[in-house]
Amino acid sequence: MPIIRPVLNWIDERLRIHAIIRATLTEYMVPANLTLWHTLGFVLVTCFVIQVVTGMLLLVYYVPDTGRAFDTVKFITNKVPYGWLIRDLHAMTSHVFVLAIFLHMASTLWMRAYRTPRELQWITGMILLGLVLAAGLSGYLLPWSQLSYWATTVATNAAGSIPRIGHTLVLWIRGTPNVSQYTLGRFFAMHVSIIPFSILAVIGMHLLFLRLTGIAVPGGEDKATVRKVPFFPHMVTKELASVFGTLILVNLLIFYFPQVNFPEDALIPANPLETPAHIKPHWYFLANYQFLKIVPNEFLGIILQVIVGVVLFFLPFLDRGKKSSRLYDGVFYTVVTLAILGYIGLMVWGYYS
Amino acid sequence: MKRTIAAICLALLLSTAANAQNSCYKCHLQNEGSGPGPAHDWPTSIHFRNGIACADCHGGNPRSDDPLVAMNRARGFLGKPSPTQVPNFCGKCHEAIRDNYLESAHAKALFAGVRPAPNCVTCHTAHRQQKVTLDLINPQTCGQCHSYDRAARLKEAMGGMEKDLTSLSKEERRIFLNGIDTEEEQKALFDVRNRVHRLTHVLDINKILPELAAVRPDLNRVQHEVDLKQKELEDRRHQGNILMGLFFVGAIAAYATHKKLMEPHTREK
Amino acid sequence: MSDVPLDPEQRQSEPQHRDTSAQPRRNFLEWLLGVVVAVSALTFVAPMVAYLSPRRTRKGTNVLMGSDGRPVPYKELNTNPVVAGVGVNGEPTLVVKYSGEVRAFSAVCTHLGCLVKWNAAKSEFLCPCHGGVFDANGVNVSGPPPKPLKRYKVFATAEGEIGLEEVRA
Repeated sequence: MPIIRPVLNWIDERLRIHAIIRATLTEYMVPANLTLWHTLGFVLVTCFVIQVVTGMLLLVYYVPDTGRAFDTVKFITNKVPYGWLIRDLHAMTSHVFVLAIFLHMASTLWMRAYRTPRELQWITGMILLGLVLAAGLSGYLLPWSQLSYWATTVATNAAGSIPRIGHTLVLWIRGTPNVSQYTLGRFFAMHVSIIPFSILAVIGMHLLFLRLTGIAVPGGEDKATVRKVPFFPHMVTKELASVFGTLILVNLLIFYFPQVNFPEDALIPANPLETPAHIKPHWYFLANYQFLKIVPNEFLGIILQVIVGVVLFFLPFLDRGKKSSRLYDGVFYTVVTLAILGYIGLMVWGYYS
Repeated sequence: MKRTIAAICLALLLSTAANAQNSCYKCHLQNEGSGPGPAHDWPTSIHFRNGIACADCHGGNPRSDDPLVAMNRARGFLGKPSPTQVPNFCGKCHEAIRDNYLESAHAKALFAGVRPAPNCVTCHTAHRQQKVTLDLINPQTCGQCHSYDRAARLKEAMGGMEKDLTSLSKEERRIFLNGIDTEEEQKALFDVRNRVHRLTHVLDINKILPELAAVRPDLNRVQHEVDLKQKELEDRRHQGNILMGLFFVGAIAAYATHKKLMEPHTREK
Repeated sequence: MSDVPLDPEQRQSEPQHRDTSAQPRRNFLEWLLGVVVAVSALTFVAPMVAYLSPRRTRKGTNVLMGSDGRPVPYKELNTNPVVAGVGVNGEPTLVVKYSGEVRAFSAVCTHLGCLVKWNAAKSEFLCPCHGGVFDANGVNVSGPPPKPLKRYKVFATAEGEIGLEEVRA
C-alpha cells in the first residue's frame, strides 16, 4: 500500500524508529550459543502481559466488596462470554509466571550470570521475584472463596510470630485483627496498582541493565570473540517457540488440570466462621510452609528464611568470580544443587504432609 | 477424601468431648461386664460418631456418679422408652420421619397393640445405628412378620430412584469441580433427595409410587441442565484442544525457523 | 544520525545476508510461522471482544421492576395513582392513572435524557432540567423536547405484574 511507506518515513524522521529497530532488533547482536533457558526472560514478559491484559478485563466486572466479590467472579465465569477463559487464563498464568521465575533464577544461578558487572540485574531480578510473589498472594484473596480467606489468614499469621512488632505488623497488613473487607480493600489496591506498576518499572530497569552490560556469554567465552547472531530474527524465533510452549502449558492447566488452582475450597464462598480442613498454600509457598512446620520455633523459622533470602539477594557480592578455583567451584555447585533439591524436597513434603 | 477425613476427625473430637463427662456410659459399661449391652454397642453407632451422648436422648445428668442424681426422673431422666414411646423418643430430632411413620401400617399395628410390631429400633436398633441404606429393607428383617414381596417392590422402586439420584449428583459434582456454577442444580437435588427420603417410612407402595413419579420431572429438569453444562464443558475443551494444536504447530514452526537461521552459524565449528 | 548501539562492545558480525541456498524451505516455514502468529493473535483478541460486548437486551415480557429489583405487583396501582419503576432493560418508566385508564410512558425526556415527573393536578409531565412539558398523551407541548415520550400499553400479566408493551406510533 503506497501510504505505508510515507507514513513510516514521517514517523522515522521524528522518532528515528528505523534506527531503534536496528539497534534493538535486527542489528542487536547476541551470542550464538544462547540456550532455551535464555528464552525464559521473554516468556516472563509474555506472562506479565497476559496477566495485565486479563487482569484489566476482569476489572471490568469484578467488585472488591466482601458481599459481592464471589458473586461477581461467579458472574464472570458463568455469564460473561468467554469470561471463564479470561479468568482461568489469569489464574493459571500466575502459576506459570512463578514457575518461569524460579526456572529463570535457577538457570542464572547455575550459569553464575549475576557476577560482575551484572549485579544490578540480579538485584532487580530478586525484587521482581518478591513483587510477583506479592502479586500472587494479594490476588489470591480477591475471589473471596473459602480458600482465599483462610489461606490469607494463615499466610498473614506468619508475620505475627516476630517478637514485639509481630502483632502490629499483622494488624497493618490486614487492616483489622481478622481478614475482612479492609484486607480485601488494601490487597485489591496493591494488586491492581502499585504492584503491576512497580513490576513494569523494575522490568524496565532489568532490561536496561541487560542492554548496558550485554548478555553473559554461556561458557564464559570472551564477549569480543564469540560468534554472534542478530537478535531478530535468530533469537526472536527461539523465544517465540518458548512462548508457544508456555501457551501450551497454560492451556493444559486450564482444560486438564484446573485443580492446580481450584481445589474444592476455592469454589465455595468464604465463611469466616468455619475453617476447612487441610488449608494449604499454593505450591510456590509450600516449601516455606513446610519449613515453618518443621522448625519448632515459628520466629526462628522466619528468621532462617529471611537469612536465606538475604544471602540470595546479595549473592553477586558474595560470589564475585575473583577466586575461581576448582575447589571453590565444586563447593559452589554442590551447595546450589543441594539447595535446589532441598527446596523441591520441602515442597513435595509440604504437599503430602 | 480429605473432607471425609476431616469430618471423621471432627466427629471423633466432638464425640470424645461429649462422652468425656459421661457417667452413664462409665457405669453401664461396668455393669454390663463383658457385654453385650447398650454401652458395648454404643461406640459403633453413627450417633456416637457425631457427638451425641446418652443424656441427649435419655435425659438425666451425665456429670454425676450418683445414680439418684444421674437418673432422677423428676429432673428429666426418661429411662428406657416403651415400644409405643419409641417413635416420639427418636422423633425428638427426626420429626419428619416420625410423622411419616405414624401414618404407616407399622405404626397402626404398634398402637393397636399388635406384638411384636415394628418401631424405630426394630430396623435401626437402639444403640448400633449406622448410616441408612436401603438394605435395611431385607427378607430377614421384614420377613419376621409378613411375606417379603411388598417390601421387595418398595425397595426396588426406591432403589431405582436412589441410583438415579446418586449418579446425577456425581455428574453435578464433577461439573462443579470444573468451575461451572451448579448452585441451582444443587438446591434442586437437595430438595428432590429430601422428598424421596421422606418416603421411606410411609411404607404404602400405592402412596410411594405416585410420589416418586411426581419427583421424576424435577429430576429430569436437573438432568437436562446438567447435560447442557456438561456439553458446555466439552465444547470448551474442544476449543482448547484446537488452540493447543495451533500452538504446537507454532512452536515447531518457530523452532524450525530458528534452527534454519542458525545453521550457517553452527556449521563451521 | 548513525546508529547508537547501547552495548559499548556491540559490533557488526558478518553482514547477515540471507542464505539463499535453503530459501524455499525457509520461506515456507516463515510463512507458516507468520500465519500461526496471526491466527493466535486473533484467537486472543476475539474472546476479549466478546467479553467486553454489551449485555444482550432481554427478550420476553417487559414488566415494571421496582427499586428492590423485583416486579411491581399490578395491585400497586390501586393504591398509587403514579407508579415509577424500571423496565427489564433498565429504562425508567412511569405508569399513571388518567381519566380512568392506565397509561405508561418512558420517563426519559426526549430532549437530553433527564427523568420527567407526573403532575396529577395539571395532568402533564414536567421535565425539571429545562422545563419541557408533555401532555397526558406524552406529546411534547412546551419547551425544548423535540419528540413525544415513548408510550407503552399496560396490562396485567398472569403473575400479577405490570406488563408493558411498546406502542409503535
